[in-house]
Amino acid sequence: MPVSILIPTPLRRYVGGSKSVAVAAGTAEAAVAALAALSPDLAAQLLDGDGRLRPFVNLYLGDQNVRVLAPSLGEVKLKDGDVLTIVPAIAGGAGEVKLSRSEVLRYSRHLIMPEVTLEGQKRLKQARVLCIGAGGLGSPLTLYLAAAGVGTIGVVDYDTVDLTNLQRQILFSTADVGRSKLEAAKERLTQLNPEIEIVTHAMQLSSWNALDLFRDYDIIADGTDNFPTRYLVNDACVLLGKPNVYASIFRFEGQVSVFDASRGPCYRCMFPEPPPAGLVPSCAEGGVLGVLPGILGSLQALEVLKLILGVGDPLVGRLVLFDALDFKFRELAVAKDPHCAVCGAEPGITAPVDYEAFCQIRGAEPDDGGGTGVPTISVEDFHRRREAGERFNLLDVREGYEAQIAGIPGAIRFPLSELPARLHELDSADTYTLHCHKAGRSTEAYRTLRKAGFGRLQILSGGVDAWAEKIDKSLPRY
Amino acid sequence: MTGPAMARLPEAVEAQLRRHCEEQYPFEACGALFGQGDGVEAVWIVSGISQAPNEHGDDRKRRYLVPPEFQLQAQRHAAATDQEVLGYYHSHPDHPAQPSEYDRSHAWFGYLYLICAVHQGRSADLNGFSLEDQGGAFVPVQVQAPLPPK
Repeated sequence: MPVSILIPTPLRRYVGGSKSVAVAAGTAEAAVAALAALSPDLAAQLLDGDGRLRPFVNLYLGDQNVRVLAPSLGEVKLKDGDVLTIVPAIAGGAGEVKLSRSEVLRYSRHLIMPEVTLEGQKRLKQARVLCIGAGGLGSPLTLYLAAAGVGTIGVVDYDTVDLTNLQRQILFSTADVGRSKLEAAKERLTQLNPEIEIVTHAMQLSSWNALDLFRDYDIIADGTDNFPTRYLVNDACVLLGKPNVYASIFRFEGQVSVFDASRGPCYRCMFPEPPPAGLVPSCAEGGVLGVLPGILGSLQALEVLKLILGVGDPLVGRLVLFDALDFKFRELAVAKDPHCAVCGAEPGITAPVDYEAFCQIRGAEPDDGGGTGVPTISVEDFHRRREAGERFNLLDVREGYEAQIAGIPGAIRFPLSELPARLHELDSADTYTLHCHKAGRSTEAYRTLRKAGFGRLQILSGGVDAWAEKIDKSLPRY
Repeated sequence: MTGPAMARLPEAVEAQLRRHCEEQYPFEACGALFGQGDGVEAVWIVSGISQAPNEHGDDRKRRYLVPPEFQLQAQRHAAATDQEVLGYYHSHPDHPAQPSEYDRSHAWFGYLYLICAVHQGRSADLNGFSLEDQGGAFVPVQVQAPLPPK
């Protein structure tokens, strides 16, 4: 008796792509057997070793599941024109994350907290966090995230470990100097917690790669020390709808916040534009107390863990400022800007832009004078011409205590902080060469002097650092 | 043997799918994908979805089960409207949009599987997968918006 069997998409390849197969059968069992006879592979999909319908395959006669109609297929009688439909079971799911015995022990101080418990620890294990920068902030951040059991930690950096890093970057040891930061970081973090995965991204984050990179992560933690990257991280997070846990540091002060544009402001709401190039010195320029990134990076790690666990009140819409000298934490409310260029109602930025241009910094050498049309002279040229008898008025605009570490012979000390009050000591018709540690403060001094009517100015490119590197190698670098 | 490497998903359908996944949070959402494509040769062209109840009794936060009665209706609807059941979507609440071993072991070659991560009630990544062969590994399927009409 001919009955038709409707074949679902996944099984059609076994029957030449047909949607329906006609077989002669008096029972459902005979119909399935006739179908199975068409292809041994199809038989393997439908029937178990004993010729019974597999549990994840359902067979319907009209609207009735044959399993409900009768205890066995042989008892389901068919008549002419009956329609059987094969329905493959569709199931799945995220699946249960399990903690091993050693993980339960490792995280036991978490598991006994009602705010974490086994459920929260599994969330941590499933979480994917990307840390931008393996530096002062990235050190405590990655160490604490790894210790806490965040399952996947991505780290972006392209630098090598330098001796000057070790004063604050506790991820590294003296033996790591000269090694790739990522290599050393992965080794250290894996030693701390071999149960998690550390993914290294050896690259300079850019408008081209940020979106693709961020997509794979749930939370981004920005530990960079420059404005172009900070705006890039912010914009990419807004565009992808991912939270950005942010911190920054300078000397004795730090800031921390959580920018999550879906429920609060972004970095651009607070700072629509960066400060002029050279106005805010980097840590390399201005210095930083070694323990300060330890405090701020730990606060960042705390906020990341809270976001993953979904507990407490995250720092969304709040900027916390920490002043280490006064030991004061201050909290500022940050409102969402409805006209924000990236997270506002009508955003002008819908894809990453050119952040170097936006922040007016020349990409290759951000420390060489700012790339803002300031005339510069290299230390080699300066040295050669001075040796040849040319006279230079060299002004050292660093603070006096820095001059004690290293200095260039013949420089007159004119700290940037004293410059406005001491302008009368200088002659605006004269020619001056300005230097600082690298270039940030000499650029600022250049602006001050230009405004005061000085026209013949140049900056010693790379400052005393370049001098110590290229001219007088006996000088210490800092 | 591999299936198509790409699925075209209209924005409006994607929005509908994401909304369903968010509504069901913290439970897994699931449903059928309708459209054109046989799952072997061409690109999958998704034109609509149908929300299914999640009948996994024990742990709907971590599992889903589409009721076979729903599938039967979905297959009939597809046949009546000259479409195919291209596959199924489901959500991963607070979990990455990556297939689990449980997903893989329960999957059928030839179906398109869309997985939508939902973090804290908000939909996040949406990824497509298909089996390279029955019982084989999942391979990623690019999910893109449809080409504009010519």
